[in-house]
Amino acid sequence: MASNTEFQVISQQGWLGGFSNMFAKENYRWWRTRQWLVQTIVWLVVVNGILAVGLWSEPNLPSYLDEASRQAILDAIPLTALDTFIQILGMATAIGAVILAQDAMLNEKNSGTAAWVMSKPASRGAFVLSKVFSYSFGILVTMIIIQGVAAYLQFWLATGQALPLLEFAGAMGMAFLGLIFYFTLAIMLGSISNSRGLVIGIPILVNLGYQFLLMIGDWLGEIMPWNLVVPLGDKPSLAMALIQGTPLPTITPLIATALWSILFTVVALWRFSREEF
Amino acid sequence: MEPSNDNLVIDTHSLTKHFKGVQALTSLNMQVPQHSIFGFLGPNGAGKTTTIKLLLGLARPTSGSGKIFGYDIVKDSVKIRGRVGYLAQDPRYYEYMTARETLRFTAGFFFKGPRQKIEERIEETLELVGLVDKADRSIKGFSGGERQRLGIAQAQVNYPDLLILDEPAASLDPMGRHDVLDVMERLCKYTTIFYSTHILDDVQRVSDTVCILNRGKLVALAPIEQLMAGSGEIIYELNTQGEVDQVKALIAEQPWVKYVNVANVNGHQAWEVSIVDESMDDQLLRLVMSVPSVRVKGFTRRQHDLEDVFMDMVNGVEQGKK
Repeated sequence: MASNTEFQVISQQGWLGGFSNMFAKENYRWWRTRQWLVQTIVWLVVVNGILAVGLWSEPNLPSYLDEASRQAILDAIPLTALDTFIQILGMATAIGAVILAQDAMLNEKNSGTAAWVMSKPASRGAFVLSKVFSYSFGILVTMIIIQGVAAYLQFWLATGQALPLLEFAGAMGMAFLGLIFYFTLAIMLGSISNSRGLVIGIPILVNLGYQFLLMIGDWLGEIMPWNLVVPLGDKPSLAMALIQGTPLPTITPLIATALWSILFTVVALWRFSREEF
Repeated sequence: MEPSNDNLVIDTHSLTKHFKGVQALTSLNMQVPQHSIFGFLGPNGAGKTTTIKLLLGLARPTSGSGKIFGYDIVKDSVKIRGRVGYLAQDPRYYEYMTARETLRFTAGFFFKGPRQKIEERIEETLELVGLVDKADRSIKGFSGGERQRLGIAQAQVNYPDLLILDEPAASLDPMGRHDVLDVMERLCKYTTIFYSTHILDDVQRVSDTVCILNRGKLVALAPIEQLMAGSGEIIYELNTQGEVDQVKALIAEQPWVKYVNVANVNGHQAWEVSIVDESMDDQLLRLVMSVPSVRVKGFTRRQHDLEDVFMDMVNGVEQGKK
Protein backbone atom coordinates (compact mmCIF):
# COMPACT_ATOMS: atom_id res chain seq x y z
CA MET A 1 0.00 0.00 0.00
CA ALA A 2 1.20 3.38 -1.02
CA SER A 3 1.54 5.26 2.24
CA ASN A 4 0.42 2.92 4.94
CA THR A 5 2.83 2.32 7.76
CA GLU A 6 0.51 1.78 10.70
CA PHE A 7 -1.67 -1.12 9.63
CA GLN A 8 -1.17 -4.80 9.34
CA VAL A 9 -2.08 -5.89 5.84
CA ILE A 10 -4.49 -8.82 5.70
CA SER A 11 -2.71 -11.51 3.78
CA GLN A 12 -5.51 -14.11 3.80
CA GLN A 13 -5.99 -14.44 0.07
CA GLY A 14 -6.96 -18.06 -0.44
CA TRP A 15 -10.39 -19.34 -1.31
CA LEU A 16 -11.70 -17.93 1.98
CA GLY A 17 -10.14 -14.48 1.56
CA GLY A 18 -12.39 -11.81 3.04
CA PHE A 19 -14.66 -14.36 4.73
CA SER A 20 -14.41 -12.98 8.26
CA ASN A 21 -15.13 -9.43 7.09
CA MET A 22 -18.13 -10.47 4.99
CA PHE A 23 -19.41 -12.82 7.69
CA ALA A 24 -19.23 -9.98 10.22
CA LYS A 25 -21.10 -7.71 7.80
CA GLU A 26 -23.84 -10.31 7.26
CA ASN A 27 -24.17 -10.81 11.00
CA TYR A 28 -24.35 -7.06 11.43
CA ARG A 29 -27.24 -7.03 9.01
CA TRP A 30 -29.01 -9.80 10.90
CA TRP A 31 -28.49 -8.63 14.43
CA ARG A 32 -27.87 -4.88 14.35
CA THR A 33 -30.67 -3.93 12.02
CA ARG A 34 -34.33 -4.77 12.52
CA GLN A 35 -34.11 -7.89 10.39
CA TRP A 36 -34.02 -10.30 13.33
CA LEU A 37 -36.91 -8.56 15.04
CA VAL A 38 -39.06 -8.53 11.92
CA GLN A 39 -38.39 -12.21 11.27
CA THR A 40 -39.04 -13.13 14.88
CA ILE A 41 -42.33 -11.25 15.08
CA VAL A 42 -43.64 -12.42 11.70
CA TRP A 43 -43.01 -16.07 12.51
CA LEU A 44 -44.25 -15.78 16.08
CA VAL A 45 -47.52 -14.49 14.71
CA VAL A 46 -47.79 -17.02 11.88
CA VAL A 47 -46.35 -20.18 13.40
CA ASN A 48 -46.95 -19.82 17.12
CA GLY A 49 -50.20 -18.01 16.37
CA ILE A 50 -51.52 -21.16 14.71
CA LEU A 51 -50.37 -23.28 17.65
CA ALA A 52 -52.05 -20.84 20.04
CA VAL A 53 -55.32 -21.11 18.14
CA GLY A 54 -55.10 -24.90 18.32
CA LEU A 55 -54.16 -25.04 21.99
CA TRP A 56 -56.13 -22.24 23.55
CA SER A 57 -59.35 -21.89 21.61
CA GLU A 58 -62.45 -23.69 22.78
CA PRO A 59 -63.25 -26.48 20.31
CA ASN A 60 -66.72 -26.40 18.84
CA LEU A 61 -67.69 -30.07 19.13
CA PRO A 62 -71.01 -31.47 17.84
CA SER A 63 -73.57 -31.94 20.61
CA TYR A 64 -74.47 -35.51 19.58
CA LEU A 65 -71.04 -36.79 20.72
CA ASP A 66 -71.00 -38.79 23.90
CA GLU A 67 -68.65 -37.85 26.71
CA ALA A 68 -66.07 -40.53 25.85
CA SER A 69 -65.81 -39.40 22.23
CA ARG A 70 -65.75 -35.78 23.32
CA GLN A 71 -62.90 -36.52 25.73
CA ALA A 72 -60.97 -38.49 23.11
CA ILE A 73 -61.13 -35.56 20.72
CA LEU A 74 -60.12 -33.10 23.44
CA ASP A 75 -57.18 -35.33 24.39
CA ALA A 76 -56.00 -35.44 20.78
CA ILE A 77 -56.15 -31.69 20.25
CA PRO A 78 -52.74 -30.78 21.74
CA LEU A 79 -50.86 -33.29 19.58
CA THR A 80 -52.86 -32.31 16.50
CA ALA A 81 -52.05 -28.68 17.20
CA LEU A 82 -48.39 -29.60 17.65
CA ASP A 83 -48.38 -31.54 14.37
CA THR A 84 -49.92 -28.55 12.60
CA PHE A 85 -47.35 -26.27 14.23
CA ILE A 86 -44.51 -28.43 12.93
CA GLN A 87 -45.96 -28.57 9.42
CA ILE A 88 -46.45 -24.81 9.34
CA LEU A 89 -43.02 -24.27 10.87
CA GLY A 90 -41.45 -26.40 8.18
CA MET A 91 -43.41 -25.07 5.23
CA ALA A 92 -44.34 -21.43 5.92
CA THR A 93 -40.93 -20.44 7.21
CA ALA A 94 -39.42 -22.14 4.15
CA ILE A 95 -41.06 -19.41 2.08
CA GLY A 96 -39.42 -16.85 4.35
CA ALA A 97 -36.06 -18.60 3.97
CA VAL A 98 -36.41 -18.54 0.17
CA ILE A 99 -37.21 -14.83 0.16
CA LEU A 100 -34.21 -14.16 2.39
CA ALA A 101 -32.00 -16.21 0.06
CA GLN A 102 -33.06 -14.32 -3.04
CA ASP A 103 -32.31 -11.09 -1.17
CA ALA A 104 -28.92 -12.43 -0.13
CA MET A 105 -27.85 -13.53 -3.58
CA LEU A 106 -30.02 -12.21 -6.38
CA ASN A 107 -30.58 -8.71 -5.00
CA GLU A 108 -26.86 -8.32 -4.44
CA LYS A 109 -26.11 -9.39 -7.99
CA ASN A 110 -28.77 -7.19 -9.53
CA SER A 111 -28.16 -4.11 -7.40
CA GLY A 112 -24.40 -4.06 -7.98
CA THR A 113 -23.34 -4.54 -4.36
CA ALA A 114 -21.93 -7.99 -5.18
CA ALA A 115 -19.75 -6.44 -7.90
CA TRP A 116 -18.58 -3.81 -5.45
CA VAL A 117 -17.63 -6.39 -2.83
CA MET A 118 -15.94 -8.52 -5.47
CA SER A 119 -13.77 -5.56 -6.45
CA LYS A 120 -12.16 -5.90 -3.00
CA PRO A 121 -9.66 -8.61 -2.10
CA ALA A 122 -12.38 -11.14 -1.36
CA SER A 123 -12.89 -14.57 -2.84
CA ARG A 124 -16.10 -15.60 -4.54
CA GLY A 125 -16.31 -18.66 -2.31
CA ALA A 126 -16.11 -16.52 0.81
CA PHE A 127 -18.92 -14.34 -0.51
CA VAL A 128 -21.28 -17.32 -0.89
CA LEU A 129 -20.24 -19.09 2.31
CA SER A 130 -20.51 -15.98 4.46
CA LYS A 131 -24.12 -15.72 3.37
CA VAL A 132 -24.88 -19.41 3.81
CA PHE A 133 -23.47 -19.48 7.35
CA SER A 134 -24.80 -16.17 8.61
CA TYR A 135 -28.26 -16.62 7.13
CA SER A 136 -28.40 -20.21 8.37
CA PHE A 137 -27.66 -18.96 11.86
CA GLY A 138 -30.23 -16.17 11.54
CA ILE A 139 -32.83 -18.66 10.31
CA LEU A 140 -31.93 -21.05 13.10
CA VAL A 141 -32.42 -18.42 15.79
CA THR A 142 -35.44 -16.51 14.50
CA MET A 143 -37.37 -19.25 12.73
CA ILE A 144 -36.47 -22.31 14.76
CA ILE A 145 -35.08 -21.63 18.24
CA ILE A 146 -37.33 -18.73 19.20
CA GLN A 147 -40.36 -20.41 17.62
CA GLY A 148 -39.46 -23.71 19.25
CA VAL A 149 -39.02 -22.19 22.71
CA ALA A 150 -42.30 -20.29 22.40
CA ALA A 151 -44.12 -23.42 21.20
CA TYR A 152 -42.61 -25.55 23.95
CA LEU A 153 -43.74 -23.07 26.62
CA GLN A 154 -47.18 -22.69 25.05
CA PHE A 155 -47.66 -26.44 25.00
CA TRP A 156 -46.52 -26.74 28.60
CA LEU A 157 -48.82 -23.97 29.78
CA ALA A 158 -51.79 -25.22 27.79
CA THR A 159 -51.55 -28.91 28.72
CA GLY A 160 -49.62 -28.81 31.97
CA GLN A 161 -47.25 -31.36 30.44
CA ALA A 162 -43.75 -30.68 29.16
CA LEU A 163 -42.79 -32.24 25.87
CA PRO A 164 -39.68 -34.44 25.98
CA LEU A 165 -36.99 -31.79 25.61
CA LEU A 166 -34.35 -33.63 23.60
CA GLU A 167 -36.88 -35.16 21.24
CA PHE A 168 -38.53 -31.79 20.72
CA ALA A 169 -35.12 -30.21 20.04
CA GLY A 170 -34.42 -33.01 17.56
CA ALA A 171 -37.73 -32.30 15.82
CA MET A 172 -36.80 -28.62 15.61
CA GLY A 173 -33.47 -29.69 14.13
CA MET A 174 -35.33 -31.61 11.42
CA ALA A 175 -37.43 -28.56 10.62
CA PHE A 176 -34.21 -26.51 10.43
CA LEU A 177 -32.66 -29.02 8.04
CA GLY A 178 -35.71 -28.65 5.80
CA LEU A 179 -35.36 -24.86 5.83
CA ILE A 180 -31.69 -25.13 4.90
CA PHE A 181 -32.69 -27.28 1.93
CA TYR A 182 -34.97 -24.53 0.58
CA PHE A 183 -32.54 -21.76 1.50
CA THR A 184 -29.56 -23.34 -0.26
CA LEU A 185 -31.76 -24.26 -3.24
CA ALA A 186 -32.69 -20.58 -3.62
CA ILE A 187 -29.06 -19.52 -3.12
CA MET A 188 -28.02 -21.91 -5.88
CA LEU A 189 -30.75 -20.69 -8.21
CA GLY A 190 -29.77 -17.10 -7.41
CA SER A 191 -26.22 -17.87 -8.47
CA ILE A 192 -27.42 -19.39 -11.74
CA SER A 193 -30.25 -17.09 -12.77
CA ASN A 194 -31.13 -13.42 -12.54
CA SER A 195 -34.85 -14.15 -12.62
CA ARG A 196 -36.60 -13.42 -9.35
CA GLY A 197 -39.57 -15.53 -10.43
CA LEU A 198 -37.37 -18.55 -10.95
CA VAL A 199 -35.34 -18.11 -7.77
CA ILE A 200 -38.43 -17.77 -5.59
CA GLY A 201 -40.86 -19.82 -7.64
CA ILE A 202 -39.02 -23.13 -7.94
CA PRO A 203 -38.33 -23.60 -4.21
CA ILE A 204 -41.89 -22.61 -3.33
CA LEU A 205 -43.22 -25.01 -5.94
CA VAL A 206 -41.08 -27.80 -4.46
CA ASN A 207 -42.26 -26.83 -0.98
CA LEU A 208 -45.97 -26.40 -1.48
CA GLY A 209 -46.49 -28.63 -4.49
CA TYR A 210 -45.26 -31.81 -2.85
CA GLN A 211 -48.56 -33.62 -3.28
CA PHE A 212 -48.41 -33.06 -7.04
CA LEU A 213 -44.74 -33.95 -7.22
CA LEU A 214 -45.37 -37.19 -5.36
CA MET A 215 -47.51 -38.23 -8.31
CA ILE A 216 -44.24 -38.70 -10.18
CA GLY A 217 -43.39 -41.45 -7.73
CA ASP A 218 -43.55 -42.21 -4.02
CA TRP A 219 -39.77 -42.61 -4.03
CA LEU A 220 -39.54 -38.80 -4.24
CA GLY A 221 -40.82 -38.72 -0.67
CA GLU A 222 -37.66 -40.55 0.40
CA ILE A 223 -35.20 -38.17 -1.21
CA MET A 224 -36.93 -34.87 -0.57
CA PRO A 225 -37.34 -33.00 2.72
CA TRP A 226 -41.14 -33.12 2.91
CA ASN A 227 -41.46 -36.06 5.30
CA LEU A 228 -39.28 -34.30 7.85
CA VAL A 229 -42.24 -32.14 8.87
CA VAL A 230 -45.20 -33.41 6.87
CA PRO A 231 -46.89 -36.83 7.16
CA LEU A 232 -46.77 -38.69 3.85
CA GLY A 233 -49.44 -41.34 3.31
CA ASP A 234 -49.65 -43.40 6.44
CA LYS A 235 -46.21 -42.30 7.63
CA PRO A 236 -46.13 -39.59 10.28
CA SER A 237 -43.63 -36.80 9.89
CA LEU A 238 -40.19 -37.68 11.22
CA ALA A 239 -40.38 -34.73 13.62
CA MET A 240 -43.67 -35.88 15.15
CA ALA A 241 -42.48 -39.46 15.33
CA LEU A 242 -39.46 -38.29 17.27
CA ILE A 243 -41.52 -36.19 19.69
CA GLN A 244 -43.98 -39.03 20.27
CA GLY A 245 -41.18 -41.50 20.86
CA THR A 246 -42.25 -43.83 18.06
CA PRO A 247 -39.65 -45.36 15.73
CA LEU A 248 -38.75 -43.13 12.80
CA PRO A 249 -40.46 -44.50 9.68
CA THR A 250 -37.31 -43.78 7.65
CA ILE A 251 -34.13 -41.77 7.95
CA THR A 252 -33.46 -41.47 4.23
CA PRO A 253 -35.10 -37.99 3.96
CA LEU A 254 -32.76 -36.75 6.70
CA ILE A 255 -29.66 -37.91 4.87
CA ALA A 256 -30.96 -36.89 1.45
CA THR A 257 -31.91 -33.40 2.63
CA ALA A 258 -28.47 -32.86 4.13
CA LEU A 259 -26.82 -34.09 0.93
CA TRP A 260 -29.04 -31.93 -1.27
CA SER A 261 -28.17 -28.87 0.83
CA ILE A 262 -24.46 -29.58 0.48
CA LEU A 263 -24.84 -30.15 -3.26
CA PHE A 264 -26.78 -26.91 -3.72
CA THR A 265 -24.08 -25.01 -1.84
CA VAL A 266 -21.31 -26.58 -3.92
CA VAL A 267 -23.11 -25.72 -7.16
CA ALA A 268 -23.66 -22.16 -5.92
CA LEU A 269 -19.94 -21.87 -5.11
CA TRP A 270 -18.96 -23.19 -8.52
CA ARG A 271 -21.44 -21.05 -10.41
CA PHE A 272 -20.68 -17.87 -8.52
CA SER A 273 -16.95 -18.38 -9.10
CA ARG A 274 -17.74 -18.08 -12.82
CA GLU A 275 -20.04 -15.08 -12.47
CA GLU A 276 -19.19 -12.02 -14.56
CA PHE A 277 -20.30 -8.63 -13.33
CA MET B 1 8.78 -12.90 -4.39
CA GLU B 2 7.08 -9.83 -5.85
CA PRO B 3 6.79 -10.01 -9.62
CA SER B 4 8.78 -7.39 -11.47
CA ASN B 5 6.70 -4.69 -13.11
CA ASP B 6 9.35 -2.56 -14.81
CA ASN B 7 7.64 0.63 -13.64
CA LEU B 8 4.46 -0.34 -15.43
CA VAL B 9 1.43 -0.65 -13.22
CA ILE B 10 -0.91 -1.96 -15.93
CA ASP B 11 0.28 -3.86 -18.96
CA THR B 12 -2.17 -5.58 -21.30
CA HIS B 13 -1.45 -7.65 -24.37
CA SER B 14 -4.12 -8.26 -26.99
CA LEU B 15 -6.76 -8.13 -24.27
CA THR B 16 -10.05 -9.10 -25.87
CA LYS B 17 -13.59 -9.58 -24.64
CA HIS B 18 -16.60 -10.81 -26.55
CA PHE B 19 -20.07 -10.94 -25.11
CA LYS B 20 -22.85 -12.77 -26.89
CA GLY B 21 -22.49 -11.43 -30.41
CA VAL B 22 -20.76 -8.26 -29.24
CA GLN B 23 -17.08 -7.49 -29.57
CA ALA B 24 -16.71 -5.33 -26.47
CA LEU B 25 -12.91 -5.06 -26.53
CA THR B 26 -10.51 -5.98 -29.31
CA SER B 27 -6.85 -6.71 -28.76
CA LEU B 28 -6.06 -3.94 -26.33
CA ASN B 29 -2.36 -3.28 -25.78
CA MET B 30 -2.05 -0.69 -23.07
CA GLN B 31 0.70 0.30 -20.68
CA VAL B 32 0.11 2.52 -17.69
CA PRO B 33 3.26 3.91 -16.06
CA GLN B 34 3.64 4.22 -12.31
CA HIS B 35 2.44 7.47 -10.69
CA SER B 36 0.66 8.63 -13.80
CA ILE B 37 -2.82 10.06 -13.93
CA PHE B 38 -4.02 8.02 -16.82
CA GLY B 39 -7.13 9.27 -18.60
CA PHE B 40 -9.12 6.54 -20.28
CA LEU B 41 -11.39 8.13 -22.87
CA GLY B 42 -13.98 6.93 -25.26
CA PRO B 43 -17.58 7.43 -26.25
CA ASN B 44 -20.35 5.36 -24.66
CA GLY B 45 -19.96 1.70 -25.49
CA ALA B 46 -16.28 2.10 -26.35
CA GLY B 47 -15.28 -0.66 -23.93
CA LYS B 48 -13.93 1.41 -21.04
CA THR B 49 -15.98 -0.22 -18.29
CA THR B 50 -15.40 -3.65 -19.82
CA THR B 51 -11.65 -3.03 -19.68
CA ILE B 52 -11.88 -1.95 -16.05
CA LYS B 53 -13.89 -5.05 -15.16
CA LEU B 54 -11.33 -7.26 -16.88
CA LEU B 55 -8.51 -5.57 -14.97
CA LEU B 56 -10.30 -6.17 -11.67
CA GLY B 57 -11.25 -9.77 -12.37
CA LEU B 58 -14.95 -8.94 -12.43
CA ALA B 59 -15.07 -10.38 -15.95
CA ARG B 60 -12.83 -12.88 -17.74
CA PRO B 61 -11.02 -12.06 -20.98
CA THR B 62 -12.00 -14.00 -24.08
CA SER B 63 -8.35 -13.91 -25.13
CA GLY B 64 -5.18 -11.97 -24.48
CA SER B 65 -3.65 -11.22 -21.13
CA GLY B 66 -3.00 -8.47 -18.68
CA LYS B 67 -0.86 -7.74 -15.69
CA ILE B 68 -1.18 -5.33 -12.83
CA PHE B 69 1.91 -4.86 -10.64
CA GLY B 70 3.25 -7.83 -12.61
CA TYR B 71 0.41 -10.08 -11.42
CA ASP B 72 -1.84 -11.86 -13.90
CA ILE B 73 -5.33 -10.31 -13.97
CA VAL B 74 -7.01 -13.72 -14.16
CA LYS B 75 -4.92 -15.91 -11.85
CA ASP B 76 -3.89 -13.34 -9.27
CA SER B 77 -6.99 -11.21 -9.17
CA VAL B 78 -7.39 -11.24 -5.38
CA LYS B 79 -3.76 -10.20 -4.89
CA ILE B 80 -4.24 -7.37 -7.37
CA ARG B 81 -7.42 -6.19 -5.68
CA GLY B 82 -5.52 -6.06 -2.41
CA ARG B 83 -3.53 -3.14 -3.83
CA VAL B 84 -6.24 -1.43 -5.83
CA GLY B 85 -8.99 1.02 -4.97
CA TYR B 86 -11.98 1.01 -7.31
CA LEU B 87 -14.87 3.35 -7.86
CA ALA B 88 -17.60 1.95 -10.11
CA GLN B 89 -19.49 4.07 -12.61
CA ASP B 90 -22.73 3.70 -10.70
CA PRO B 91 -21.55 2.82 -7.22
CA ARG B 92 -23.91 0.79 -5.00
CA TYR B 93 -23.48 0.16 -1.33
CA TYR B 94 -25.45 -1.48 1.44
CA GLU B 95 -28.19 0.99 2.19
CA TYR B 96 -28.60 -0.12 5.79
CA MET B 97 -25.06 1.02 6.52
CA THR B 98 -23.82 4.52 7.22
CA ALA B 99 -20.91 6.05 5.33
CA ARG B 100 -18.62 5.35 8.27
CA GLU B 101 -19.73 1.72 8.47
CA THR B 102 -19.21 1.35 4.73
CA LEU B 103 -15.64 2.58 5.06
CA ARG B 104 -15.09 0.32 8.09
CA PHE B 105 -16.37 -2.64 6.07
CA THR B 106 -14.15 -1.69 3.14
CA ALA B 107 -11.10 -1.25 5.35
CA GLY B 108 -11.79 -4.68 6.84
CA PHE B 109 -10.80 -6.29 3.54
CA PHE B 110 -7.40 -4.68 3.56
CA PHE B 111 -5.97 -4.25 6.99
CA LYS B 112 -6.10 -5.07 10.62
CA GLY B 113 -4.43 -2.89 13.13
CA PRO B 114 -5.11 -0.75 16.12
CA ARG B 115 -8.85 -0.03 16.02
CA GLN B 116 -8.22 3.59 16.87
CA LYS B 117 -5.85 3.97 13.93
CA ILE B 118 -8.41 2.46 11.59
CA GLU B 119 -11.06 4.86 12.89
CA GLU B 120 -8.64 7.74 12.41
CA ARG B 121 -8.01 6.64 8.84
CA ILE B 122 -11.75 6.49 8.20
CA GLU B 123 -12.20 9.97 9.66
CA GLU B 124 -9.36 11.28 7.52
CA THR B 125 -10.92 9.76 4.43
CA LEU B 126 -14.34 11.22 5.27
CA GLU B 127 -12.72 14.62 5.64
CA LEU B 128 -10.94 14.25 2.32
CA VAL B 129 -14.26 13.85 0.49
CA GLY B 130 -16.25 16.23 2.67
CA LEU B 131 -18.60 13.71 4.24
CA VAL B 132 -17.77 14.14 7.92
CA ASP B 133 -21.12 15.71 8.76
CA LYS B 134 -22.98 12.86 7.02
CA ALA B 135 -20.74 10.07 8.21
CA ASP B 136 -23.27 8.52 10.55
CA ARG B 137 -26.33 8.82 8.36
CA SER B 138 -27.75 5.88 6.46
CA ILE B 139 -26.60 5.77 2.84
CA LYS B 140 -30.21 5.32 1.81
CA GLY B 141 -30.75 9.08 1.93
CA PHE B 142 -27.56 10.03 0.09
CA SER B 143 -27.72 12.06 -3.13
CA GLY B 144 -25.88 10.95 -6.26
CA GLY B 145 -23.02 13.33 -5.50
CA GLU B 146 -22.71 12.10 -1.92
CA ARG B 147 -22.62 8.51 -3.11
CA GLN B 148 -19.88 9.46 -5.54
CA ARG B 149 -17.88 11.08 -2.74
CA LEU B 150 -18.35 8.00 -0.63
CA GLY B 151 -17.21 5.99 -3.63
CA ILE B 152 -13.99 7.93 -3.83
CA ALA B 153 -13.52 7.58 -0.09
CA GLN B 154 -13.96 3.80 -0.12
CA ALA B 155 -11.69 3.53 -3.15
CA GLN B 156 -8.76 5.11 -1.40
CA VAL B 157 -9.28 4.19 2.27
CA ASN B 158 -6.75 1.37 1.84
CA TYR B 159 -3.92 3.59 0.51
CA PRO B 160 -4.08 1.83 -2.87
CA ASP B 161 -1.10 1.62 -5.17
CA LEU B 162 -3.53 1.94 -8.05
CA LEU B 163 -6.81 3.81 -8.08
CA ILE B 164 -9.26 2.79 -10.79
CA LEU B 165 -12.06 5.29 -11.14
CA ASP B 166 -14.87 4.75 -13.61
CA GLU B 167 -16.37 8.15 -14.40
CA PRO B 168 -15.47 9.66 -11.01
CA ALA B 169 -16.91 13.10 -11.66
CA ALA B 170 -19.89 12.15 -13.78
CA SER B 171 -22.62 12.86 -11.25
CA LEU B 172 -20.98 15.74 -9.43
CA ASP B 173 -21.74 19.45 -9.63
CA PRO B 174 -18.93 21.79 -10.80
CA MET B 175 -17.68 22.28 -7.23
CA GLY B 176 -17.73 18.55 -6.59
CA ARG B 177 -15.87 17.94 -9.85
CA HIS B 178 -13.28 20.50 -8.89
CA ASP B 179 -12.84 18.81 -5.50
CA VAL B 180 -12.49 15.38 -7.07
CA LEU B 181 -9.82 16.61 -9.46
CA ASP B 182 -7.99 18.22 -6.54
CA VAL B 183 -8.12 14.95 -4.64
CA MET B 184 -6.78 13.10 -7.66
CA GLU B 185 -3.91 15.53 -8.06
CA ARG B 186 -3.04 15.17 -4.39
CA LEU B 187 -3.21 11.40 -4.48
CA CYS B 188 -1.03 10.97 -7.54
CA LYS B 189 2.03 11.57 -5.35
CA TYR B 190 1.31 8.25 -3.68
CA THR B 191 -0.55 6.25 -6.24
CA THR B 192 -1.23 5.66 -9.92
CA ILE B 193 -4.64 6.84 -11.05
CA PHE B 194 -6.43 5.17 -13.94
CA TYR B 195 -9.73 6.80 -14.65
CA SER B 196 -12.31 6.78 -17.36
CA THR B 197 -14.29 9.85 -18.19
CA HIS B 198 -16.32 11.69 -20.77
CA ILE B 199 -15.32 15.08 -19.41
CA LEU B 200 -12.42 16.11 -21.62
CA ASP B 201 -11.70 19.32 -19.74
CA ASP B 202 -10.95 17.24 -16.66
CA VAL B 203 -8.58 15.03 -18.60
CA GLN B 204 -6.80 18.04 -20.00
CA ARG B 205 -6.45 19.46 -16.51
CA VAL B 206 -5.11 16.52 -14.58
CA SER B 207 -3.97 13.69 -16.87
CA ASP B 208 -0.43 13.12 -17.96
CA THR B 209 -1.17 10.16 -20.22
CA VAL B 210 -4.26 9.52 -22.28
CA CYS B 211 -5.72 6.47 -23.94
CA ILE B 212 -8.59 6.80 -26.38
CA LEU B 213 -10.79 3.82 -27.06
CA ASN B 214 -13.49 3.58 -29.69
CA ARG B 215 -15.72 0.61 -30.49
CA GLY B 216 -13.53 -1.59 -28.35
CA LYS B 217 -10.33 -0.65 -30.15
CA LEU B 218 -7.40 1.45 -29.09
CA VAL B 219 -7.27 4.65 -31.10
CA ALA B 220 -4.49 6.51 -29.32
CA LEU B 221 -2.21 6.10 -26.33
CA ALA B 222 0.24 8.88 -25.63
CA PRO B 223 1.38 11.49 -23.14
CA ILE B 224 -1.13 14.29 -23.22
CA GLU B 225 1.35 16.88 -24.57
CA GLN B 226 2.08 14.65 -27.52
CA LEU B 227 -1.58 14.10 -28.19
CA MET B 228 -2.37 17.78 -27.91
CA ALA B 229 0.43 18.63 -30.31
CA GLY B 230 -1.62 16.88 -32.98
CA SER B 231 -0.38 14.53 -35.68
CA GLY B 232 3.26 15.57 -35.47
CA GLU B 233 2.70 18.79 -37.42
CA ILE B 234 4.43 21.82 -35.89
CA ILE B 235 2.38 24.91 -36.43
CA TYR B 236 3.12 28.38 -35.08
CA GLU B 237 0.51 31.06 -34.88
CA LEU B 238 1.48 34.73 -35.17
CA ASN B 239 -0.50 37.87 -34.83
CA THR B 240 0.93 40.91 -36.58
CA GLN B 241 0.15 44.44 -37.67
CA GLY B 242 1.69 46.22 -40.69
CA GLU B 243 2.73 45.38 -44.21
CA VAL B 244 3.48 41.65 -44.34
CA ASP B 245 3.76 40.67 -48.02
CA GLN B 246 7.55 40.96 -48.10
CA VAL B 247 8.13 38.98 -44.94
CA LYS B 248 5.57 36.36 -45.92
CA ALA B 249 7.48 35.71 -49.16
CA LEU B 250 10.76 35.60 -47.23
CA ILE B 251 9.45 33.01 -44.77
CA ALA B 252 7.84 30.88 -47.46
CA GLU B 253 11.27 30.57 -49.16
CA GLN B 254 12.91 29.00 -46.12
CA PRO B 255 13.68 25.28 -46.55
CA TRP B 256 12.37 24.46 -43.05
CA VAL B 257 8.96 26.00 -43.75
CA LYS B 258 6.22 23.74 -45.12
CA TYR B 259 3.59 26.40 -45.73
CA VAL B 260 2.47 29.86 -44.67
CA ASN B 261 -1.09 31.12 -44.47
CA VAL B 262 -1.97 34.68 -43.57
CA ALA B 263 -5.47 36.00 -43.07
CA ASN B 264 -6.53 39.56 -42.38
CA VAL B 265 -8.67 39.86 -39.28
CA ASN B 266 -9.84 43.33 -38.13
CA GLY B 267 -6.69 45.10 -39.27
CA HIS B 268 -4.43 42.39 -37.91
CA GLN B 269 -2.88 39.46 -39.67
CA ALA B 270 -3.38 35.97 -38.33
CA TRP B 271 -0.53 33.75 -39.45
CA GLU B 272 -0.30 29.99 -39.58
CA VAL B 273 3.23 28.75 -40.27
CA SER B 274 3.99 25.07 -40.50
CA ILE B 275 7.65 24.19 -39.96
CA VAL B 276 9.50 20.90 -40.10
CA ASP B 277 11.79 21.47 -37.12
CA GLU B 278 10.61 22.98 -33.88
CA SER B 279 14.12 24.27 -33.09
CA MET B 280 13.61 26.81 -35.90
CA ASP B 281 10.94 28.65 -33.93
CA ASP B 282 13.30 31.44 -32.84
CA GLN B 283 14.57 31.77 -36.41
CA LEU B 284 10.99 32.20 -37.55
CA LEU B 285 10.33 34.90 -35.00
CA ARG B 286 13.59 36.68 -35.86
CA LEU B 287 12.70 36.74 -39.56
CA VAL B 288 9.32 38.27 -38.89
CA MET B 289 10.76 40.87 -36.56
CA SER B 290 13.53 41.69 -39.02
CA VAL B 291 11.08 43.68 -41.11
CA PRO B 292 10.61 47.08 -39.44
CA SER B 293 7.15 47.64 -40.90
CA VAL B 294 5.77 44.57 -39.11
CA ARG B 295 4.82 44.62 -35.42
CA VAL B 296 4.48 41.21 -33.78
CA LYS B 297 1.57 41.11 -31.31
CA GLY B 298 1.53 37.41 -30.63
CA PHE B 299 3.57 34.29 -31.23
CA THR B 300 2.66 30.83 -30.01
CA ARG B 301 2.85 27.20 -30.93
CA ARG B 302 -0.56 25.82 -31.75
CA GLN B 303 -1.91 23.51 -29.06
CA HIS B 304 -4.73 21.26 -30.07
CA ASP B 305 -7.73 21.16 -27.82
CA LEU B 306 -8.22 17.65 -26.45
CA GLU B 307 -11.78 17.71 -27.64
CA ASP B 308 -10.58 18.36 -31.21
CA VAL B 309 -8.08 15.54 -30.94
CA PHE B 310 -10.68 13.21 -29.45
CA MET B 311 -13.29 14.04 -32.09
CA ASP B 312 -10.76 13.76 -34.91
CA MET B 313 -9.61 10.38 -33.73
CA VAL B 314 -13.02 8.95 -33.00
CA ASN B 315 -14.50 10.33 -36.23
CA GLY B 316 -11.45 9.15 -38.15
CA VAL B 317 -12.14 5.62 -37.01
CA GLU B 318 -15.85 5.95 -37.81
CA GLN B 319 -15.08 7.21 -41.33
CA GLY B 320 -12.48 4.51 -41.81
CA LYS B 321 -15.19 1.99 -41.07
CA LYS B 322 -17.48 3.47 -43.71
